[in-house]
Amino acid sequence: MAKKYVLSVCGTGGVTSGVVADKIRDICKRHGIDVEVATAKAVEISSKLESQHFDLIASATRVKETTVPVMNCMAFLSGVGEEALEQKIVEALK
Amino acid sequence: METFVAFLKSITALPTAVMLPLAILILSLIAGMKFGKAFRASVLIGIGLVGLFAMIGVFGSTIGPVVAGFVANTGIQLDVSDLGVFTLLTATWGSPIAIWFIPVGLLVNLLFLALKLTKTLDADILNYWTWGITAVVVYTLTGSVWLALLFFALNEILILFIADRTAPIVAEHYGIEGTSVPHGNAGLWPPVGIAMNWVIEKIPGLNKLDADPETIQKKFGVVGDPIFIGVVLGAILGIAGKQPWGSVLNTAVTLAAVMIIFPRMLNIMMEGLRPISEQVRDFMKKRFNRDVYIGLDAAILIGFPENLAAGILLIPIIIALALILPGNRVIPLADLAIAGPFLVCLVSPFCKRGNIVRTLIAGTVVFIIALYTAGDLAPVYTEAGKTIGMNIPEGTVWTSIGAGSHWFAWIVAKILGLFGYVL
Repeated sequence: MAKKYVLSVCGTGGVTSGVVADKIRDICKRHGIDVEVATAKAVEISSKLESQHFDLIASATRVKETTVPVMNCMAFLSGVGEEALEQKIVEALK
Repeated sequence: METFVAFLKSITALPTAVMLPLAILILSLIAGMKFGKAFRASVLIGIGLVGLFAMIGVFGSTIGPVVAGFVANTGIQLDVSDLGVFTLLTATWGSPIAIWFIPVGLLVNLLFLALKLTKTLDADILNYWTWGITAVVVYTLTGSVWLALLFFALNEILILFIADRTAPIVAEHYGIEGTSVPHGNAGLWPPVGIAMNWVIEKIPGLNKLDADPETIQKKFGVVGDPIFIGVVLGAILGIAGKQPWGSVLNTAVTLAAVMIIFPRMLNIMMEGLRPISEQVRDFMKKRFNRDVYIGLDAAILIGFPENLAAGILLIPIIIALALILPGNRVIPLADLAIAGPFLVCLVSPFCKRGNIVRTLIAGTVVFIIALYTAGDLAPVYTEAGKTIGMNIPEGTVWTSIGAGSHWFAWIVAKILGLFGYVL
């Protein structure tokens, strides 16, 4: 299976996107998905997309529509609906 | 018994970087975590604290004298340095009473949940320290552990109350269903947002204005960059303080370094606190499997476009306020980049759902209050830091405009003052 690239974004590109990135790496490891997760600020999305291909944007903030599917990952932070989100991410990357 | 008391005393006399990890290790094991995982996480917390202590030393010894020179040369009476939320965090987690924050915080929360007096299940135990600010103020003024913990609990109850009431609108606005934000600093300010929004609604013309957060971020984004703020502010301070040019440049780089390195150190500490935080969250969720809000950290909200945009525009406003407000003593420094978005993130949802103009006006009011409360409490924080041996030069009075602007702690300090408890 081809390697998948995920861009994890939050407003500041710091702690929150890091937490989300860790969760995604963990999920992909458990489901046997080869993944590389990068973190960025939300305002950097368009420049990041120009320089590299991404399969999915995992967002912990509000972002505009892009060419790449965006998934709201706030559930990783609250724990509310975490299992459902995990399912959606696995489906999106499989 | 005597040896036991002596043992307890020797524990409270341990350095912060040892005591807090030890407390978390014990708590983690009680919560059923594996020893290896709990041990690693606890040591990481200690590592983060060592880093924070080291940075405070660097910051205090470089910035302290420069600020003193600035005051002496310009005659502007800004003699309280804003050493930032990280310095106050260290003074608070480093306090001898910090060991009680998590147990008491959990106990009060669980009790209130059981009695159905709150709907918030505060999983954000990393931020129990924000109620600890009140506790440290009380402890520093009275020396009483019991009084300190009583006001800690009252602070928690107030924040849970505000979090419950604001949850529906905050959750809808940010798309975080099933949660509330019981953060001890950000959570103090929604009332200002509600009040200011009500006022603005009555003013013709003003009630029509709005701005686009994305444009503001793109155009002025560099102003909100911590490196930019650090370098420019440091250089201005140095020049206004008539420092030699080498010292001007050194101040610029040091202030930028502080703004970048402090959050990194906190990240290390957070990495250590995350396992216990998740363990507690899951444990509590299982036992209160009914209609509750999971309490989240306000830090996840500062990245939303409206908060970042308002935060950027608030930077020059905060500096201007510091210069013109009569009787203000605080020179805004370390918290400039972070305080804006942090203190407005629970204000903006009430300003017509993130209207930038309204958020900015409400934010200005927030910081007028914040500068006065942070300045008034500065001697108490300075004393608290001194008693735990924080490496800050003699004569430097410090505060944090982001977290030390705690109006509840300020009111409590004023009430205690009436009973003769003053520094």
